[in-house]
Amino acid sequence: MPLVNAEGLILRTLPLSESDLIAVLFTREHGKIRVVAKGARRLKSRFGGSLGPMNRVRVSYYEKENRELLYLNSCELLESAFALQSDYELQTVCAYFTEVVDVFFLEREANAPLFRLVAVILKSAALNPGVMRLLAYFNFWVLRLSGLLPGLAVCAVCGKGLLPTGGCATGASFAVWCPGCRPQEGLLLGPGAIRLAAACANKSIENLDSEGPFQEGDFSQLNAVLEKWVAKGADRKLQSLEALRALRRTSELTAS
Amino acid sequence: MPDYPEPVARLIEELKHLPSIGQKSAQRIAFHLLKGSTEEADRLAQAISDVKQKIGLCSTCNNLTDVDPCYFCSSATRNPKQICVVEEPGNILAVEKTRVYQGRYHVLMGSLAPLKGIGPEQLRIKNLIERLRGGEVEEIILATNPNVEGEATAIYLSKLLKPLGLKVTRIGMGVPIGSELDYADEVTMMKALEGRREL
Repeated sequence: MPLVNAEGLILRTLPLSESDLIAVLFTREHGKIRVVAKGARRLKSRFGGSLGPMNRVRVSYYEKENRELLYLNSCELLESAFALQSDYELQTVCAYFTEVVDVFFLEREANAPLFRLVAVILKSAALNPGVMRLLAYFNFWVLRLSGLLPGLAVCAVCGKGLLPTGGCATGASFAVWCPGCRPQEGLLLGPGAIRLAAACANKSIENLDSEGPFQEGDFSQLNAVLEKWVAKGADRKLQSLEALRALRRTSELTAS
Repeated sequence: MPDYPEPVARLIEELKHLPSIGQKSAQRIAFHLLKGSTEEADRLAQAISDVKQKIGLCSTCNNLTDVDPCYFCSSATRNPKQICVVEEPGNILAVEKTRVYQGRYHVLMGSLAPLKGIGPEQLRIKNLIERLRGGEVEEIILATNPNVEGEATAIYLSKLLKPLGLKVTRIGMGVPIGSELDYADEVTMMKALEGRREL
């Protein structure tokens, strides 16, 4: 039973028996893993507050023969996301990130670009750049890394460039159409949203506006399409997406 | 798995639905019940049935009770100016064990947890606001769990309640008694420092 060391993000925890937890971690080295944290629910647990969602931790764990679950030996907190998620809006957004990573990617399959994406998003979230911006960047890259993102620069039917006219998309298929080829019902992607998608592809989240600012509508339009594609790619109901939509109905999520 | 007679297999299946009870524990409990007298089994069945039939939620505070309003809401000795807000009815026992708190309670029946589909609408917040309309309450003590969900719930409630002119307090968080500072992680220590008090 050799000890394995890894750096990871806590995606979520589930109660197990009276005082244990199962922690789902997304590690840089070994992808998504599930570990049993013995006694983690006790008041004087040796894991303390390190197993909170989205915390960046360094863990050591071991495997028992003929057991599917891994066992957590130690968990050192590198960066806490506790304060970040004290706000319900950001808690919901972080829950969305964790659920999408959990649903989209297989267990024990290392994915260094995705790990970097989540780490960058969390670091950026701490600076409060606006949740719509975080969502747009995250959705864009999750779809791209999972191979589901279609080209957002040209029409899927005629191949014509989508600038300066803009385009439209539906949640039913991973494609974008120009105004001439658009289906009857579709979600509008204005020129600003098309430019925003290009900026997500080529720039860091902090520098999205380096060639001119984006409007709140650009973020809303791009997010509306990307969220539909994420939901389609997940192939199941995302609880956190429902919570995000409910939040959107009661308050406006901010882009900046 | 060996084939049990149908009633025993059914009992084991039902017991497995209980928290922390797996196949082996369920078998052990089932055989314990089989070894015991019929009267013992009837008493257990009656107790479970009574709990389901007689216990409901207090219409004021959502605590589990067999009379409405519950003991805490109807007692003249409890301070009506203080309300301690907890996540689950079981949390009331933890507070009561201290024998220090003499105010009343409000049970939210959960905490904000987007991954479980629990938002503000799913929590019993509306009847808390209604309770406060009477003007009798002066302080709200937020005693939600010291985790991400509990903290987000506490901050959400404080934003909602402070404009009503109430004193809103949060239970202390930090290093547990009997532990050692060497083992405290940064969040626990930070919360302990935030909640420090003058001696």
